[in-house]
Amino acid sequence: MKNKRIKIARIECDLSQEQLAEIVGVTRQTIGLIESGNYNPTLNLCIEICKALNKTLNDLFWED
Amino acid sequence: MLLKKSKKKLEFNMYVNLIVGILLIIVGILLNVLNSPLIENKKAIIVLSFIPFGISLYSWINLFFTKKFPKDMKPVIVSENDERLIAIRNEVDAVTFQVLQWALMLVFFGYTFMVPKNIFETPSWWIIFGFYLMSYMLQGIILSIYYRKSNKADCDE
Repeated sequence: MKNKRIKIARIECDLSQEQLAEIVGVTRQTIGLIESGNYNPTLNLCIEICKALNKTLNDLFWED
Repeated sequence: MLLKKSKKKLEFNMYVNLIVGILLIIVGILLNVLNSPLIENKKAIIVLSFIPFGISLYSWINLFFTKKFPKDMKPVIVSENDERLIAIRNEVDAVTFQVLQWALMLVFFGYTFMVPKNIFETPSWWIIFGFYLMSYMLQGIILSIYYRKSNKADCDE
């Protein structure tokens, strides 16, 4: 399932996938796969992404 | 932090392979000087030391470029530490190991059935048997180490 909330939060912070990947320490492809719902990140990576985008785990990763 | 972790790994690789290479050279020279009957071709051990020396040199070059050009090396370091790529590599390693384990089993049983007079007699049979046995035992040993580590972490809480 696609994760549109990460994409929206990333765009709100004016970050490209590459820039977000650099901040959290993964490849751009990994961020792309997370946003398209084709990869399930570990909890550590989820937390790093939340910190980078200034959001909570609920905001970005909880299912509606 | 990624850079620090990568440098530590490279340094560890470099020093371990350097030590192994030096040990092999020393053993080769000693066997040569003492003219030991243990091994026929003693110079082969000295030549074998080139492999760990080569790996050590490769690690040193990697470390040099990581320290001198950290920005250029960052994509390489990131791809080595990306959790998704690590998971893919682990899966590939596991499948490769299973294929090799099967191949080793076929080689062992094939050799045993085709040349039965070599069973328990020749060093080659013992070496193949040793590797075959080790491939199963090592799995169990490493698994028990991992379980012990995770249980210890659990008890510490």
